[in-house]
Amino acid sequence: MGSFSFLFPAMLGALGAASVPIIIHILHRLRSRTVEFPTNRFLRQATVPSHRRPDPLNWLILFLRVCFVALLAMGLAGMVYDHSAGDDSSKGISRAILLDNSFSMTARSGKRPRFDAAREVASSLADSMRPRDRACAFAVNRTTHQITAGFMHRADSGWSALNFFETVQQETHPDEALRTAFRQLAEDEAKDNSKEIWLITDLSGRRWHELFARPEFPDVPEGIKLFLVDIAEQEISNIYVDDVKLSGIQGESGRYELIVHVAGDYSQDNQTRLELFLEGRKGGEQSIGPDGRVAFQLPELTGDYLKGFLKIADGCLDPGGRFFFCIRRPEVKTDSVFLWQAALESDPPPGTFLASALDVVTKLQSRELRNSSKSAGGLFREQFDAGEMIILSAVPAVEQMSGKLRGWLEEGHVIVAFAGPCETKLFESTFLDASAAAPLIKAKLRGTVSAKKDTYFFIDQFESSHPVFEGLTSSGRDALRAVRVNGYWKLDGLDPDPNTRVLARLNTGSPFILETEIGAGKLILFLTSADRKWTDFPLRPAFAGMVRNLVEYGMSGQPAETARRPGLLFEPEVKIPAGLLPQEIISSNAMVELQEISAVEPSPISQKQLKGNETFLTPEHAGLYRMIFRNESESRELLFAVNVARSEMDLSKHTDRAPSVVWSAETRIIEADELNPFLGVNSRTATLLWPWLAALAVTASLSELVLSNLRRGRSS
Amino acid sequence: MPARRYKFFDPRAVARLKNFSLVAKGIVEGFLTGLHRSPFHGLSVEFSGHREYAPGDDLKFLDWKVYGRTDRYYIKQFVQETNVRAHILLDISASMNFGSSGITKLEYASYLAAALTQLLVSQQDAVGLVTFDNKVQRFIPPKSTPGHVRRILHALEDVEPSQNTTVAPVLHHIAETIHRAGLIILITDLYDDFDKVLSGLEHLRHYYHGLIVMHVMDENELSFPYESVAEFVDLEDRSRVQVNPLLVRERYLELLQEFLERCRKDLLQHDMEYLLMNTATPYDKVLARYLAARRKMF
Repeated sequence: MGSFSFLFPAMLGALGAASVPIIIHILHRLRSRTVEFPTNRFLRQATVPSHRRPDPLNWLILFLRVCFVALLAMGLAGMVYDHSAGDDSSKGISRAILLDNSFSMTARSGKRPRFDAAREVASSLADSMRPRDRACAFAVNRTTHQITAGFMHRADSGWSALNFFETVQQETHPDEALRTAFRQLAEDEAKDNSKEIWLITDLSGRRWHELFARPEFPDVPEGIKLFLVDIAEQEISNIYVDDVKLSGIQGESGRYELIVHVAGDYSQDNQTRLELFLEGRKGGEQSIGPDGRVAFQLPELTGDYLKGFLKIADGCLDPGGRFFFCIRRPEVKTDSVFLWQAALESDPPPGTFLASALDVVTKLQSRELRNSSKSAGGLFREQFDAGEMIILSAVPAVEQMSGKLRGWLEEGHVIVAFAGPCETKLFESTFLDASAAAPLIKAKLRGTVSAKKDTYFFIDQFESSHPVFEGLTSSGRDALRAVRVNGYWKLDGLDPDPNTRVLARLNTGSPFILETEIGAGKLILFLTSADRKWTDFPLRPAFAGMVRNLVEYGMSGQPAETARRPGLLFEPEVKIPAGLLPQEIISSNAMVELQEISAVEPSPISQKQLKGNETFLTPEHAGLYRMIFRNESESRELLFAVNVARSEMDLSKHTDRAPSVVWSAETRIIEADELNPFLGVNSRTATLLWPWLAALAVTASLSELVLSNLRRGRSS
Repeated sequence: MPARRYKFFDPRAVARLKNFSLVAKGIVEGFLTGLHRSPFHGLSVEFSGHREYAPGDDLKFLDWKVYGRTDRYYIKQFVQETNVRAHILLDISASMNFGSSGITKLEYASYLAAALTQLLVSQQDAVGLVTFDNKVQRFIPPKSTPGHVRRILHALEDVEPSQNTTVAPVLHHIAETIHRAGLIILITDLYDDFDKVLSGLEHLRHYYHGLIVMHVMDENELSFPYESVAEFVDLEDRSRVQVNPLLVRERYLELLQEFLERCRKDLLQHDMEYLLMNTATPYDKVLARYLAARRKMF
């Protein structure tokens, strides 16, 4: 059931003109009512006095005249029929849109970042507004920022601000966001409107339990509907893990155990949710001990099961500490070490770290990564915003590995390697990574040293002034000394090399952490494994801080490729026309060529030599465009659309080939603006009734003429 | 051209002047100047002078002695004396206050009375004025002095439409008041019981008065041009009747013609003159018809 509405309600004042025929009619009656005459003696004889009988024809003509004027007035007021409006269309809606832009929204669901999907949902919510509806939008992270200047109608300018918000390295505080929305709705001037809150989020973060644990908000206006849009598409969320802290990961030979300790009230409801999640994955088993200890036996970390594992672990990150994550994937049949810095912020953004890791692991699992240009000879590196991940995997031979490492180091990069166990059936050799790294430091590995039962080694000395240990607090230093080492590699014949430094030694005097400069690069070798059997170092809070320092230290001296990082707000260098999205070119010394491919003859319409980091603006005119980016080493292209109708967005109509290399890993389609900003209605669902009203008005006018002539003829 | 000469006597143009003395004098002098033949002659024997003969002059007034001496024709002129006492009876009832073409019947009648007064006095007749509705409102006895003319004209200027008309009692009252035979000119729209009006006129006739009835009607009364449905209000009794003119016009005109024809016939049968005029009729035409009627009487 649709509804009628008006684009220019002020013009409805013209409806008053509909009374003009009635007034004229009344005046006419008043004017012709009495005629003074010398005598009525002959008139009385000429006719029998009678009361005026209403003439239906007159009333019909009057009705048609009123209709004519009223139809014209409604036409001027821009009467539209909105098919999409509901039965409650008589009331407007005041809507608070909360857009989660925490760092977890940077993760990808499918092929695009969650935040893009969330922004699209927010835009569609704004698009679906009827003329009487109003909405305001907020970006939600640790604090709540206004996106729109208060409540706005669909026709108002300012909705393009949705496009200028990006994710930030903060986590979601839904409690504060909802409070802000409640406050905004309570202050809404449109008191009769129904109230709605749309929270668009991936439900990732540690603060959700605060929201769901809250029995009620004391200041919630009545009658508010809350719509939660799970942008992660039905994935399990850690919001149900209430007060769970990850204490450790244990595993060997393909069997991993996630141990969580449950503090406080672990409700049956939350437990059930966890069970359901695990049962939904293959092979999940769980047991809940009487002391609240929940152990999940994870037979293999594959597919969705790994996703769930990561998400749970991610949600268990301690905001006050650091977290290091280490996964060995037995099905790859090689020693793959994932070194990861969790975060460089004091408050690690949940979801970011593991979501990114998940992406890489999934690619690796599907062999996509190994076959890509980024994975050469089993050496994979991935650049992230604040660091770099190194993966050694599927190395066919020690020599080849060493060669690759050396070449890569000489280019000026940094490798952090663990001389950990490398149990692989492929080579029947152990400690592949250590074997590969040892030649680089000009030393010989002399076997492993294991602590006796119930004893362990510990770190006795370390260069506290070295950047790797810089910034450690006293408690951090204590934590470093508290690291327990069960086994390590013993080096023999370490040459006195000015390029090699021992950063830490064990209490046995054996080097524990080595740094050597090779070419322009550095190798930092841990003479132990990240495996739990060898040491609990990775599980110590101090380890994450040290890894952070490692990454920063490794990156120091290298020119930053960009000052911008995903998730950080930046001020555009040039004024961006409303409604346009800037295409960010993160590269210097590149030639950018713009072509309009929807033109009859596709041809370059602009070329620009970028110097340094510049912002490239999409063209103002509607169309499909190809932006070709060239520098000395590569050529990429981006296909995009500007204000093109949805039906015209099929790029195959305009180009005979799919983009072989896609800029930023995907073709970005800017949502077509199918709304008419002047009319302020959704042209997809609303029909302008001008033609119908005009036709009815003409019909009424012609009918009035015919009837008037008929009346005149009858009178004469 | 006659039409050009008459243009100054158009009733609507005259009504705009609002000066009875000037209007009456202008009408009469213009009217007299336009005549080819002197319509009146005095009965006095007092010689006043000669004037050159003009075609139409009575040959009995030709001075043959002068002709003998000068071989030219001259007419002897004498000082004329008053020989008629005329009373103008003016109906000032509410029905006379109707007008559709810029002048009401009462205004038309008033100017007509003024012109008649001027004409009669210029003929040395004595003129009196009686205004009445259902009774005599003002009575000015007949005299022929210039001052008396001004008095009558002032009285006409002060005329205001009054109440209902009952002509018959007034005629009976005047008949009993004026015993000396004279000329009675009744200017009215005759909206009364005509049998009673005729009775009153016969009463006057009984005293040998000469009677001229000037029946004043408005053009809208005579043609009834209305089209839209309306409620007609009687000016005298304020009664109302809703009428569709398109439906009753034909019957109305029939009834009106019957009334006018009866008036004409009955008055002529009783040796009275009946002059029907509408308010668009020029005054000089009316005066000519008056003189023609008077010539029949005297």
